[in-house]
Amino acid sequence: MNTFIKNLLIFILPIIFLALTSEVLIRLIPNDYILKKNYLDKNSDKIEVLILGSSHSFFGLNPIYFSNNCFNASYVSQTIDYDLEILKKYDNKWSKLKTVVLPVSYFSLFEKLKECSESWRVKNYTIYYKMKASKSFKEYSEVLSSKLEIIIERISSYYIKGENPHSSSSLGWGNVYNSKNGKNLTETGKITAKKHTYDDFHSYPDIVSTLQSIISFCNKKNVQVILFMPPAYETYRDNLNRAQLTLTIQKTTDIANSNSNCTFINLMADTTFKASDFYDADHLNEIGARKLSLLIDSIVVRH
Amino acid sequence: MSFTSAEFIIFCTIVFVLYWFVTAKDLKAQNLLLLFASYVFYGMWDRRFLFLLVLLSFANYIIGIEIDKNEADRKKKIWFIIGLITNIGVLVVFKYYNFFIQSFIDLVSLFGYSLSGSTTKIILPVGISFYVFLSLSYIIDIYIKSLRANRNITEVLLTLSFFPIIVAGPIQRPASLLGQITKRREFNYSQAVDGLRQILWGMFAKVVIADNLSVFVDDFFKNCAVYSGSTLLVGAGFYAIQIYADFSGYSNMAIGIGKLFGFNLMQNFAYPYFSRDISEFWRRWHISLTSWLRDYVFMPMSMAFYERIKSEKVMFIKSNMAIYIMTSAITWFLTGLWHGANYTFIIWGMINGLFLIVYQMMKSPRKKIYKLMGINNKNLTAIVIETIFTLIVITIAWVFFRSLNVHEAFLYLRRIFSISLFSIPKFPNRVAGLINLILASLFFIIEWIGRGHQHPFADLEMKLIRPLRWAAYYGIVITILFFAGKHYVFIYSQF
Repeated sequence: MNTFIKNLLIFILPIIFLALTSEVLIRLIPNDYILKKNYLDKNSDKIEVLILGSSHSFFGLNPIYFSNNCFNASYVSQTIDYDLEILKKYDNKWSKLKTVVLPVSYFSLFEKLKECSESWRVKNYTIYYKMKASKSFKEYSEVLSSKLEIIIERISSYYIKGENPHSSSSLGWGNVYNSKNGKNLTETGKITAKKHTYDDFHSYPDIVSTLQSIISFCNKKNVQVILFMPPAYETYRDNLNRAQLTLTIQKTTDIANSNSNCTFINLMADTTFKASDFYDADHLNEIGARKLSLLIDSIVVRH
Repeated sequence: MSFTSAEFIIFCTIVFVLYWFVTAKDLKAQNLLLLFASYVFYGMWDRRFLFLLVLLSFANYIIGIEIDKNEADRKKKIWFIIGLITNIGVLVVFKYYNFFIQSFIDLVSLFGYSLSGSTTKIILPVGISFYVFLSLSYIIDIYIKSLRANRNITEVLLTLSFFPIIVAGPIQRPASLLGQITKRREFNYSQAVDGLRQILWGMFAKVVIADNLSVFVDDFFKNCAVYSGSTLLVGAGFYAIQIYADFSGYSNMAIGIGKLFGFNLMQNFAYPYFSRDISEFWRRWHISLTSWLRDYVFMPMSMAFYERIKSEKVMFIKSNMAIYIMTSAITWFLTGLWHGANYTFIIWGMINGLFLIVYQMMKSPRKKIYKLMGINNKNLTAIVIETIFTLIVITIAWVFFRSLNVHEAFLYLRRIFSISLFSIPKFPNRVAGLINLILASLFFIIEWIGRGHQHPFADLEMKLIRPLRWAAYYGIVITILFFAGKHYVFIYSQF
């Protein structure tokens, strides 16, 4: 037994040492989650307009174009359940909050971060936002929840190549989807529409209920909720499943109609947005983000 | 709590330390610890059905004693029937209720009648098919007197819920497992190291091969209408590899974990894709299930038919062959049904049964043809051709196994056997596809080299000196960490 334990320890100690070192090194790398959390820790009592949601609002809404004090707390693949968690986390601090802006995209009512292909991002909410967002042990560790390939890439790009790890501005807007490096709109339209289409709607009731909880939460604090369906290029729109899209629009309209503090605006096929406004078929670049931000701001001001 | 999760590694380490350092001197304490650990393990998979597992194994404990103590045939038979009804009833209610109701409604509708049946959403308890079959063999063995009922409740409950095998087998024979549970276990260095090697190989198969292939397989099956025949053929091949890597990986980990606790569990896979014919394939694939069905269904049924059929021929077929056809058809129907309440599984089972029957019928004509052609049974070309043919048959049958419904399976096969079969396969992600092909090839090369042993790493100690051996282990660990994709549940844990 002693030999077994001794040999086993000799074998696994280097692995444990490397894993712990990597964990520490990765956690020391600044990232967008830390940036957003730190901003909210310090300024949540000053924010008047809070933007939540997925990449559609992360890249599409730039707080500098808003008239009021605004912060973008959305992020790539952030689903509605995590939006609610962010609101709850600063429950007693939203003293100046007047409006919450939340995108309801084609996939929003059917996708949960924990269940989708981006589920590896859950650890960012447990580690950096300090949310108890998962029961899984690995979601509390960078090393256990990421591929070795990604760990090596992150460590080398920050510590060796000296690259900037941030992809957002100080106010939380995603600033890396630039008009100069845009993608093929035809190709991304087809692929992304397929990716966002769900065969079964098993999460739908839960997510609708979470969305209602967000609205109720805001209602208690006398906060307006502006739901919007983000603009998307025709190659994306043409490849969507009609049933999923119709259900999303109908349900969101119903929710908005039955809650006095809620407004829904469908911008999916809004003609203001041209091909040159898109980074890919469902994300805006900085030009499109300016347009959308000004448009949403005008609605916020009106309310 | 999957074997590949961090939680399981922590859980297993705690149980291992308590088992060998705290309870090592007391067999009762060791068994109690394992029983408690087994319930914790199962509860972490599915808390809701832990009660069902405890209740069913307790019922089997009582039924076993009642069968054993009643010498009178009638009472013994009654208890045996109660045992069968209890176990099969649980399986039917939880696994097949909706399927049978819906099938009956569909059948009646064929005759122009309409029934409004109510199907209830019943959640399938994890591993139910495995622990019910284990429980069934416990009471059958007692009934046929090949096993005495054990009066020690801890030992029986542990036999019927031992954590390495509770979720997806291998389905142990109670006599073998109970025999090990009742005896004092000594720590054996070689056995424990061998167990770790087997776990490592199983993890490589599951995490690197199966999980990465599943990304492609899911896409090919979901979008089979848009892919070419050649791509879908590769997709079917990918699924054949995925299901083998997934299930053999699980089995290797389960057996390896058993070894860490001093148990020798039965081998579940013996390199089945290197089989020359379908009969050999089924002797090497999911051995614990196929041997279970052979011993408890096929053999008794064959005996019963032999006793009843006295004529030499049944409908122009020799009675031997007729009995084989009947028993095979029933056994393979049940094999399909065991996997799930879906016609796809039944068709999959029947395809395998059909090819086994054809194989049996062709045995002597094949010998004659080979003799006429002057081909030796060990002729390499013949071996290669027969092996490839077997792989094609198995792969086609897997399409039914993987498809969500019969319509999807036929669509997939229709697409394969279209003109686009002769086009160049197109992968959604060529680089990842190529990497997966390389890894799968490496996997089978290692399996081929180690095919003479229970698992490919079993004789590594003889083949490599320590530094090289450790380098190989580190290589595997790094590959696992490097290629570990999204975690997918073990396919067979859903049965």
